[in-house]
Amino acid sequence: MNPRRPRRGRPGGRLALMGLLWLFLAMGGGWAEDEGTPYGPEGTVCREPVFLQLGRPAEPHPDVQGLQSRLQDLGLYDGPLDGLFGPETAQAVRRFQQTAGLPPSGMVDPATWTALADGVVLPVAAQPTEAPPGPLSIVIDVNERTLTLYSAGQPYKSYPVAVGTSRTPSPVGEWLIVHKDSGWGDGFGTRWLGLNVPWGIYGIHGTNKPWSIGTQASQGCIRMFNRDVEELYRWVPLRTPVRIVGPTPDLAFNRTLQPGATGADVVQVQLRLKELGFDLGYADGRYGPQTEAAVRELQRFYGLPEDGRVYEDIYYVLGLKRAP
Amino acid sequence: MARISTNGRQGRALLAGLGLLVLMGLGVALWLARAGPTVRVGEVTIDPRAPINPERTYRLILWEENVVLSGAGTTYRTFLEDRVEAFREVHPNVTVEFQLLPPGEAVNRLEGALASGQPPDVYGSLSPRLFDRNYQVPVDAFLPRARDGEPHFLPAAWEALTADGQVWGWPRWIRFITWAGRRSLLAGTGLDVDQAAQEGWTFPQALASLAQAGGGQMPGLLVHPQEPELVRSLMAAGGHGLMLQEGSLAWSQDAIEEVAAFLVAARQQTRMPRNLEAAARERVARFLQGRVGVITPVRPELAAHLLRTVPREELVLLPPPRPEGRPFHVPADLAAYLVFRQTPYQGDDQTRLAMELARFLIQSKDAWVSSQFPAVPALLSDQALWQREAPWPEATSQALLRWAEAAVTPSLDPDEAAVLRQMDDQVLAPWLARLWDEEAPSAWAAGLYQALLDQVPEPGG
Repeated sequence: MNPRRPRRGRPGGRLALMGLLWLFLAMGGGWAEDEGTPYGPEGTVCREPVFLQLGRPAEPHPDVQGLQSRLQDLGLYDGPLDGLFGPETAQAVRRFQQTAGLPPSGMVDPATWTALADGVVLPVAAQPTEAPPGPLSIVIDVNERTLTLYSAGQPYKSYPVAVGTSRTPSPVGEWLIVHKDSGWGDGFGTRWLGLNVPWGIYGIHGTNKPWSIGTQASQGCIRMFNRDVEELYRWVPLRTPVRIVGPTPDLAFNRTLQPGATGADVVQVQLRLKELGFDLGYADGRYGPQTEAAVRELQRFYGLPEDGRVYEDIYYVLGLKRAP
Repeated sequence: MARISTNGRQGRALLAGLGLLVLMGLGVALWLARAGPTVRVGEVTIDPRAPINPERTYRLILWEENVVLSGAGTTYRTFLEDRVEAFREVHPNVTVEFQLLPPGEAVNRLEGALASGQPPDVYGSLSPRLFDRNYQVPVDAFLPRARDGEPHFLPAAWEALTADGQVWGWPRWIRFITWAGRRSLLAGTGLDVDQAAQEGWTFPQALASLAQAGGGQMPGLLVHPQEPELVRSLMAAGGHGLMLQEGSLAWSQDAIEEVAAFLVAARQQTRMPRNLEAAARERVARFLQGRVGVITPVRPELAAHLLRTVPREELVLLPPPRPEGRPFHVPADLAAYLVFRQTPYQGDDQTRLAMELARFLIQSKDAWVSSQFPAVPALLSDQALWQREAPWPEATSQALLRWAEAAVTPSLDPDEAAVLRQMDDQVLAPWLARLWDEEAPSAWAAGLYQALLDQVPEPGG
């Protein structure tokens, strides 16, 4: 026997292994799929800067804009709400720190965030407060900035949320809650509900910036008041479906998609296929066997070359690309 | 006298008996006229005039094959939900449970349900067949008599659903398989585009025009080179039907050769790209960008997309061309609602109500669905509504009505449909792949003809 000859496994075994891997990834897998990063606050794309200070971050940042807005409400800042941490903002932070009994460093640190949040008057909590009875699902409307909990297909309770900015949009699509955790701290508030988004660690979480709720402020995650996310955390089990609806992201749609592909473009293809009545399960950004079968059906219906892949004409007939 | 007297009594008795017989005959005739004919379905005899009990609660099951509405601003599910709700407002004692079946699964689901005797009451089909005589209920006896003897439906649609003297579904619309052209790129090629749209065009006209499309600076024609519909539609346009005729091959070798010669000439004369496979994947993009004169075959769903995205003055829908000197034929498909009974039989009133649901669904709003495609509603009374809703100019409506008169529709025989599918996959598609580099279409035609004969017999064979 040639020892260098590669071993050839049984195809059935390979398929089974691939199937298990697919299932693992589809469930979130406990890891971020893109880089193999361990699951946790360090790996999430929604990680917010803990410290803000003069010139940092260098670019306009929604957290700085939120800070400016908060300081304005407190009567400590009357500069522009431009998201840039300039001298005026730093001076306003110093003034706030003095009134809060903190060292007037002009730098926003965890203690300053906490103090800023302390004075925020939250809106009255919505009703009901009893646990919902039926199978649960969640719809997050990016335009309305609301999270609605459904029980047995009926709206049960709505909560205000903060969503991603236009540069860091929340992931539109159909997800599952695959991770529940607490104690991530700082910008993640008191609870974390992780979603199985394949291109990064996104989730629904609490916040230390309650003034941002109702705005486009996050890096793509869904922020809630800590009080609300704690309630939701108690009620929703793992595998609860979460549908995020919002505007079509500004994508080029210029790559050929085939089984194994992941991404926001895959989500858009899946959503359009579902609108046309093709059944493919969740629009979860993973180009799996159901998506491939649906694309084949579409190709057959439209009389296009049938290969189960999304090529240029498919983007056109789905309305994702338009002629100039 | 006594004899006479006896005869007189007998005569009176005979007269009275005859009178009684006449009265009974009249009674029976009146009863028959009132009751009307019955319909036999499997072991069940159905009275089409059975009354619907307003006190009883009915439950109807409706299955539909999904209609892909491209860019119509709504989904077919939403549309159907509204229609079902509207029916419930008219019949508050009826619950309609509907399921929209994914394409590709629908017919298998129906056949499975028929095998267990549990088909839905009503089935919305995009390729209606006479699935099972034991369960499928013919609809003609349930049709109210038309005033003045005028037909209710497009004759072509009604005939397409007729087999053995009975009609096996409520027709919804006839849709067409087209060649889509850009008017500006066909201008100046010698083709009267409007006339071609109305009356059809011939192979020589098509070749001459497509060779000059866009000033001869771009492909005149792009095809899906392995799509069986390409050959089938040209054969149908040439008057050779949809391949089968009562289970036998309806195509002759000469007819196949005629079409093959046309396609090979089109390949050589219309500047089709070298790599047809790759070009087929960007047919739609090129057409939308104005970089090709005509694309084909264009199924109704694709045509619906073009109707929504190409300016209405620019898009021209043409029937497949035909050999010179042949009558006008246009390949088409049909949609219909089919009605079934179940085992155990649910009663004549249930069947009558299922017919009412199907009749309700084909009316008025259904014309809106047919206006989303190059299609004509089957219900004649809805044609005005269809013309108002249609996204195309009046001339196109007139052309489509003309096409409807010349429509070639598939057979109702489910076995024939299965054979056609098999022939598409196993014979036509692989043979088409070899056509495009052929120097001698006659050899290709002989080979394809033999391959087809290996699968189905010649007429009378």
